[in-house]
Amino acid sequence: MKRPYLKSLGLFIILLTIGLIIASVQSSKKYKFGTKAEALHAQLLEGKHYIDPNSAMEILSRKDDNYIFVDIRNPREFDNFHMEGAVNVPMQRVLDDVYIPYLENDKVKVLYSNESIEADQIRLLLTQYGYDNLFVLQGGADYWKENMLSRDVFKSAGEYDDEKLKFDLEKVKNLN
Amino acid sequence: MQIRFVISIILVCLGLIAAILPQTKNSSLELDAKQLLNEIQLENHVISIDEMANALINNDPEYQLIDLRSEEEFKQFSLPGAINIPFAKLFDEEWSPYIDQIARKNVFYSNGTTLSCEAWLLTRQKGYKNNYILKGGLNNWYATIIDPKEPSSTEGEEAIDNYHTRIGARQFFMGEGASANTSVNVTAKKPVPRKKKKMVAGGCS
Repeated sequence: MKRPYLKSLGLFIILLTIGLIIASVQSSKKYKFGTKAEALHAQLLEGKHYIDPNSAMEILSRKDDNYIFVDIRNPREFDNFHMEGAVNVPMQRVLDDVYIPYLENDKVKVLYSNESIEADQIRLLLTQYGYDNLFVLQGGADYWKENMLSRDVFKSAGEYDDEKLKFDLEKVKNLN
Repeated sequence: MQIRFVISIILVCLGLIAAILPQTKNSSLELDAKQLLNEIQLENHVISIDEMANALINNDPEYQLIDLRSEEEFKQFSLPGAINIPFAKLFDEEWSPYIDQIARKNVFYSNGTTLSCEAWLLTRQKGYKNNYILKGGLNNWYATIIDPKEPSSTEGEEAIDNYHTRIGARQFFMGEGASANTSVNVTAKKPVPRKKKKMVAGGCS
């Protein structure tokens, strides 16, 4: 009497279950990290992953197309100011498929944001995810605008290093 | 019979869904890239200098400062109450009780933010909670607390309040001698009497 109806209902539910399982497994796989934290830690200890403003200036002046600057700020900030030849990959969309061509290529990608804190984090995230050849511009766009755009740039200004202590330890010795 | 059969299939399927769906979330505590990207944008893991200074002044036991620099650098200078876990030793067995726990807020710092960002992302990728970044590191600490810039009068009351809090914090961290040998002199500003509002003139009153 009701058998065919019940059968198709049962079948439907089984298919739905299988579908859900497949979907959940795939969606969790898509954004899985390619590099383990321990491996990445070892990699970070091996070498530097940033370039200072002087090197960036050199790359720009010799129009080296082995390098590409990737601006991870929002499009409004990008339109306002960006490095010569930079592409805009807003950080919140950095994992979107449309931006894969910008990140998966043979060029050296130099990421920058306003300061270096966002670029640092995004660079690491993308490295964890599986991309390579990623660097960060020390100081970011803010430092660049302030120190590198005038005609007579001090060489020392271009040697900016985020991890360099910028104050005299003598002045804080009372603290300990 | 058939009805029972179908019902049992439904139950088995629901059971399967229930068993598998949470598994993909919790099977390992490790995050995926999408989740981590969300957290980066939320910035809940970034602690400002003012917030940290306040916690230190109030002796807040919730915070544990972790200095990621080398031993030598740590010996030369460190923030009050900090412990030293050189970045190279981050995943050493001896430190795992510190970085993988749920009791205290670990605040990573270095001279800048590069090292602390790296430490945070690595520990977060492994699923550890309770780790934070001191925004701007020691350089920002110095610029904010030890050598704060006096705000210009156009910056509004909040900036001026902040400045005075920082001067207070500076004295707390530098001790009594601090104000004597430096150029920053803290003179209490005379309260500027507010102009009385003029009565509304004219109109229908």
